[in-house]
Amino acid sequence: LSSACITATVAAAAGARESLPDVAEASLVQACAGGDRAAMSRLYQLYQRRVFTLLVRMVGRDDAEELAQEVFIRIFRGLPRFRGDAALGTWVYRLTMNVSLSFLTRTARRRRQDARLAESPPALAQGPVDANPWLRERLERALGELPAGYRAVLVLHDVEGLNHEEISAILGCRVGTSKSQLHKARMRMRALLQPGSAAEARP
Amino acid sequence: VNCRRAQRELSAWLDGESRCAAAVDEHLAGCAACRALAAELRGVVAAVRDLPACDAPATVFARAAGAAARSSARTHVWWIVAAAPAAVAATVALVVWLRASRPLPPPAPPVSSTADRALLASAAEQFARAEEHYRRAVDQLRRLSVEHAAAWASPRRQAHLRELDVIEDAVARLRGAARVAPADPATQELLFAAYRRQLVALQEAIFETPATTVDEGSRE
Repeated sequence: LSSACITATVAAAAGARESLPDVAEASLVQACAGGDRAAMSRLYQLYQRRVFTLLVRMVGRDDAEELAQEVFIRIFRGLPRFRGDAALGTWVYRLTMNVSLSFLTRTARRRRQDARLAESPPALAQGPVDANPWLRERLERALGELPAGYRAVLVLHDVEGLNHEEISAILGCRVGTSKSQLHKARMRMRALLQPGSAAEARP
Repeated sequence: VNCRRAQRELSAWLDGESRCAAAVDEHLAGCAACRALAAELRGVVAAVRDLPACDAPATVFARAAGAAARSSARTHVWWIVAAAPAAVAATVALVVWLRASRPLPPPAPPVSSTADRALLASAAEQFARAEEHYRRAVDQLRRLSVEHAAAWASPRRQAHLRELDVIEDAVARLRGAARVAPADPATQELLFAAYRRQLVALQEAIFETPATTVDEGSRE
């Protein structure tokens, strides 16, 4: 266990996006499944940034915190049943995406039922202040305007840097679908970022 | 390739994954409109890629780990609560079957022959085993409930401990009665009922602990 924890800590400290070596990953999973709180904390450190960034980009910062909690509860509860069929990272991404997409479906349904809410699309809100807050705000607004399926592929590919094989495993779609969705998502983003587009015009 | 075909390929081309990259290159060299589109898409990709990563607030781990631990404790408790009476019911059924298959000759003194004595000894042994199941379940639940009760306000903890004392007292008295008359079904039934009451009280104590209290009580 201790070596698993050390490896996990090193990887987390380096902000690495790579998975742990299989053996270290397996022992970390086993320790977490046994309720070892230190191991759970290592696992959290290893994945929290990926999970939270994905959630912020998918649903906006306002709801990301609550959903992050839901994702990690599912991770901790699900680990005893995690059989290593997929890489742990892929499984974590899949859980996060499932939570995001079902949240978006829920809120979309609620918005359809409530005409007043239809006026306000989900605010993809503020991250830490960066060099060009104006551009970032436009980008986040445009991301919020994308259909959820496009947004999922775009975020996984261009924000998280995953390839189409990984995305198809996470979203349960074909590789070709992931590729064509990505192209459509980028084209839609380009249109949304054009001067005079809906996303551009919204205050 | 024509503009339509080239434009469809642009994303893959930008990612270095196009299977007809050379043809797209050639088209872009001679088509300003597609070149402009490619530049805009490249800008979109670069901008999205540069969106900052975000760290989850520190509270997320404590809450998630607390909730996960709570649910596993719940599963554990359910297992104990479900398993103990089931084991006891099986044992009691066995005792009843033993009696039915070798009825004691009433109204003479119950212990009249070697065979009857053996039967009674076996029934007493089964009874002791059934009781052992209950005691073990109660001990496990008691350990869990002590952890939970540590986070409670004092009056509530006192009330909980008083209730447990009353039940424990009843259990002790009924165990005494059962030792005197090990074959008496009424005493057995009362004793098992007291154990069940004890299980329920402990179970309630564990499940009624408010979520926030457990989070605060959880160590990190």
